[in-house]
Amino acid sequence: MSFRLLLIDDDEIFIMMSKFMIKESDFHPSPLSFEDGLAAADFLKNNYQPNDRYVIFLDINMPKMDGWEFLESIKEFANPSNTFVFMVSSSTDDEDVAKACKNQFVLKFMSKPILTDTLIQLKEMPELKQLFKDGK
Amino acid sequence: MGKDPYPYRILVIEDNPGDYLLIQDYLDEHILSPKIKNVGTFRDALMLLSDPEATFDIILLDLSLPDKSSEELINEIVKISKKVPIIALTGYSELAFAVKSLSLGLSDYLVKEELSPIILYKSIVYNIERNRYIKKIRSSEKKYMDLFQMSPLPMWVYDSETLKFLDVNESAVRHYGYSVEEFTSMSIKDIRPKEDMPDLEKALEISRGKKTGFYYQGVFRHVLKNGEIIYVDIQSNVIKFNERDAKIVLANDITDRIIHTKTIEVQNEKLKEVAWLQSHIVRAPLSRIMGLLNVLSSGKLNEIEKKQYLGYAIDSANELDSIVRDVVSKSQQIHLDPKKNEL
Repeated sequence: MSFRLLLIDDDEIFIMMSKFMIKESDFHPSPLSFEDGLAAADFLKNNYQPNDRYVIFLDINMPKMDGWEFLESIKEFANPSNTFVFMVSSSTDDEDVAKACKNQFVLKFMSKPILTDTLIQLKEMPELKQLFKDGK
Repeated sequence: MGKDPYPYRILVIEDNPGDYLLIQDYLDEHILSPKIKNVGTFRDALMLLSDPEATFDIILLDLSLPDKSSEELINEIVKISKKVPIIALTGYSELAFAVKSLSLGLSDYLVKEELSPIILYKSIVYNIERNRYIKKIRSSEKKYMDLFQMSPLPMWVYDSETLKFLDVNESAVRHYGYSVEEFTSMSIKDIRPKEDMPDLEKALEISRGKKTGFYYQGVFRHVLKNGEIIYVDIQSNVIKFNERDAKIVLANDITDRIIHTKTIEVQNEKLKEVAWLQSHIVRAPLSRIMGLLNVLSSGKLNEIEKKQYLGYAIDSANELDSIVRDVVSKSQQIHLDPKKNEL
């Protein structure tokens, strides 16, 4: 059983920063990054293992396939019990927040930027705690 | 039966002394103290009735006087009678004419040969009473006419079938710019923009064949005589007008209100746009700057990395600057003056 981290965002600087924060917070040693939802969905579809754990930081507004469409497309094969999505957006739109909360995969709606301290707090969430005990 | 105690003021226009005496006797029979005046010629009648002090409850008129008779006499007496009811006294020979005289404004006629105290008394009482009701109806008619004419809102009546204006009030004349004569030669189609005809047809369809009292309300566009288009809140009721199926309409000009509402709607749209920009676009470079500063302050970067991250932060700051300028210029487009917002 392994734990994989996916960063899905079309903003390269954001990916770069996020990788830095993830390293700083010991959240994951080797995050994978994707520039749009379609590339990420394809990767996940081809590599999904029911016994693995997936944590996904997902942007909403992206070309080709946006965050919402990505969530729709992984419904076919992914299971919410091992696939945890953090919806990440620079928007603070109430409608987006409400929509995110209703989705079965989404653990939390987060507004950008994701900082080291935030990531350290996330590791304590009941759904994720297990990952970090096993992973180390 | 006791005598009627009311002191009836009675003018008897009769030149025949015998006939007059008989009438006097008959009057005394049922009336306790009648105040009777007698004149024998039209000239004297004219003089007496011209006196503003002289008031009567009823006039008894012989249809053939020495100086005037028949239709001419009736017309003249009706003119000067100050709406006091008139009963004609006539012989059998004039009976056909007496019947016709009712249409000239007389209240009643009595045939002299068949006159009796009770018939005379009954006719006097009946015609005084009837006259009082007629007066009441006329004054109530006038009151309703005034309500129509003096209404501060434009009102009109139009024929349900021909759609012609049958009557319009003063406010409609003032508001629309057409005279009463112009209005009554027009139909309600003439005050609509051509492109609104289907709406009018639809509205007419709703009230077609409906009974008196059917109420309808709706907002329409009307054209004034000067070509200006106004918005009106129309309320109408089905009525009978001079035996015609008609509708009475009240038109409230709500143009200013509608322009005001549209102005606010346009402003709202623009404000929504600003709010969307604020939420989606402004925060993107801002959140990047926040993240970059956080990385920079960690102290974990070498000199080359620091320069790279600072460069990103400057780019994002510039992006933010141009977005804020855009938001400011959008906000400045929101005018309170309705004419400056595109409607």
